[in-house]
Amino acid sequence: MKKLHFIKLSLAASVLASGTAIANEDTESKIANLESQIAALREDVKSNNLDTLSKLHMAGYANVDAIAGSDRQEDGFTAARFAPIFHFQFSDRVLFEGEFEAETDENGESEIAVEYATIDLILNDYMALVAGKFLSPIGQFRQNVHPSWINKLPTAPVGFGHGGAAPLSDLGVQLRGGIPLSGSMRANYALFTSNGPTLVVDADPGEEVEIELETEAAASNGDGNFVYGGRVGFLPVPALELGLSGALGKIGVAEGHDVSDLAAGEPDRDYTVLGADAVYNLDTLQLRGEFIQQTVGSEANSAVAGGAVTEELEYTAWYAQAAYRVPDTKWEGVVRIGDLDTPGADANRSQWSAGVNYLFANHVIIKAAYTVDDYDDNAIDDDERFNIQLAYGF
Amino acid sequence: MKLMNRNLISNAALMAALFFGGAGSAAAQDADDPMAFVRGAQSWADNCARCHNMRDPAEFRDDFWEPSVLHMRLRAGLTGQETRDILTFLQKANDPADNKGENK
Ligand code: HEC
Repeated sequence: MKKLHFIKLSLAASVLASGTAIANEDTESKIANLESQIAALREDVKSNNLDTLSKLHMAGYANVDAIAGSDRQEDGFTAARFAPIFHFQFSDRVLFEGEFEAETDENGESEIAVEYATIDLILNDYMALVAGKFLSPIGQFRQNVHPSWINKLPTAPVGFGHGGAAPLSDLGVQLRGGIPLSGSMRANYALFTSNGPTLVVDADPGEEVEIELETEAAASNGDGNFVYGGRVGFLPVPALELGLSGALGKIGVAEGHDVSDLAAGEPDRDYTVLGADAVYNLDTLQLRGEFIQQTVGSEANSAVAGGAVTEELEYTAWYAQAAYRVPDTKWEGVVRIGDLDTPGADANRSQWSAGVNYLFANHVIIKAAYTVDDYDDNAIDDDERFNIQLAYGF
Repeated sequence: MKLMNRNLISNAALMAALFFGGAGSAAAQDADDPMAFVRGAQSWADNCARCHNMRDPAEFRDDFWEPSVLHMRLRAGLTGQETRDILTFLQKANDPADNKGENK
């Protein structure tokens, strides 16, 4: 019985092999070698599959942060974050992925947020449907770099964190997949439609009324408008990925927000976001860069603050980063420069960071970095500080 | 019962392989494809250290790699074929018994 099975297997294998025209003598001996290994592998896979049709897997990351030398903040520990990811897989076509972020805030209280939670359906070899709350597919940092064991510096680039210029997360649906081009050239894509961002009218007592952009996904479409967009990644060679992303839609003032009542009847505006990103790996050198710009169109009939915010609102951020791991050691050096430009002039600044990392393992890293924030407004002091972070991805 | 199903599937896969001469890409065939491991090793090297440091194949058990690689398929925009090949590679490369065998 077993033998018959094996003969069938090798017959199928040789047909497969000849069909793809790879069977020269060299590969034939390789194939013979692999065949016995594959037979063992099949037994392995079989025993795994028999008892576990559904699979639950937990991954995620944790980090502990500290700061020193800043004029704005006392020295000390600044964060303890635990971000578990749950994967629930049914057959090889359905995956639930969800990430919580649990963090201790300044007052010692725990904050829990759902970073993302999606149900993913594999439609075919080149396309999957992703539905739920997902990290913004615009650019790379949010979706691919923000976990602390991946980010090579203890902080997010200026403008790519909360309250910055890059969109954070979205509630909607995506189609994602990969397309082989010629040779090792390939492309990937993510197309999405989502609730998109909303405008929030901020009226702190005693301060000027401002319009702010809220890009964190909410479970209701606050402004009733959708956004349509996507990202295309192109890899001419496996070491280089170039990405272009963008989205279009209308944006309005979110209803039901505490302070937005001030802006009742505020007309919707045009919303666009554009992104460009690149990553290049050469041995132990990694170069990474990204540019994102969100634009809210002008609106002559804006009533907020007696018509003070009728003009176009532009939120721009970019960064460029180089990281080099000294070959055959556990040491890595990183430098990054970046800039943020928004309608809220107080936040606008350029930033540079230089850091040293020690990799206990590829996913257990201690990082120390020096960062300088140089504010555009000369009346605001520059901020210089050391950040230290211990990160563990699991 | 399940074992019998598996036999049926393997028979069907054999028929399919004979008919299509390996042109198909059904998952059932891939485990029988001797080149999947080789392709998987290449795809792994090409793709799995682009966004983050390379994770050690030995870090996870076979059944843990499945959802993880599916997760990465979605992140990285891999094709189904690349995903299956990489999974084959990882599930093979994390096998301590096998490494011993190769080093003999
Ligand atoms: C497009 C960028 C990208 C590529 C390419 C990529 N990964 Fe990841 N990987 C990530 C991100 C982002 C996370 C963190 C997931 C999170 O925190 O939500 C991650 C997490 C992981 C983890 C931790 C467990 C988990 O599932 O979260 C493993 C293991 C892993 N990747 C392995 C791989 C392998 C193997 C490959 C090659 C098939 C790969 N990665 C390719 C972006 C990528």
